[in-house]
Amino acid sequence: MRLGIVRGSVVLSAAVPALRGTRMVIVEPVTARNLELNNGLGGGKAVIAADQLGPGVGQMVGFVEGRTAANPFSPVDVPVDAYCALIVDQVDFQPPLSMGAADRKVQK
Amino acid sequence: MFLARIDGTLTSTVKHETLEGCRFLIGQRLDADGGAIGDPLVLVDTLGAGRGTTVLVTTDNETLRTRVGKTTPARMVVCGLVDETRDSQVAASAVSPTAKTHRTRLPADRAARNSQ
Repeated sequence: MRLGIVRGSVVLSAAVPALRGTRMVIVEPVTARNLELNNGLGGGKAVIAADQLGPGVGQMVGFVEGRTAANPFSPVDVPVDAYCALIVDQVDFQPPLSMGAADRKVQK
Repeated sequence: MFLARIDGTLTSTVKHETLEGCRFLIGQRLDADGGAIGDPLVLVDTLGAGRGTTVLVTTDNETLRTRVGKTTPARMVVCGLVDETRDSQVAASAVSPTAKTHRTRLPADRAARNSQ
């Protein structure tokens, strides 16, 4: 599971039957540097993830990628390979040799 | 499977129902030279790994499916705490606090050993 920031959602006018009614969010993955600086930026290549939690724009989420992203829809086979699994309340990230962000423990 | 260094923690109230009660850590995947690579990863932990610990991570979804339910989307689980790594630089830069000894052999050591 990677971390990402929700940038918006996607609405489909036509979709394969299995995808109908599935909410899709645009998630910008957060890089290590941006997570440490806690600057609200992502930095990664945007991913479209299926979502059942309803995060708002700007919120940080954890999203899974790969075949397991379709597990929540089991036993229906859906063409989903990214899924928003959790909404982040608080993240405390402090790698060694850090770049010196003053306050790393920030309420989300 | 790969090695990761635990660099943080994460709390979440709203999450997939199968992840209720799981402990989440933020880890960074380690390269063969011990450097962190890629984006930070959210890991599910059942072993009590602490910050700075080097852990073994599996990406096999079955590990979690058997524990919390078949519909769980998560698959990165801490499945071991690393005591030592041999013949790699991983130990030199990411020392596990649980490790009592870290034996890191440099290429020069290897050459010496091979010549014996």
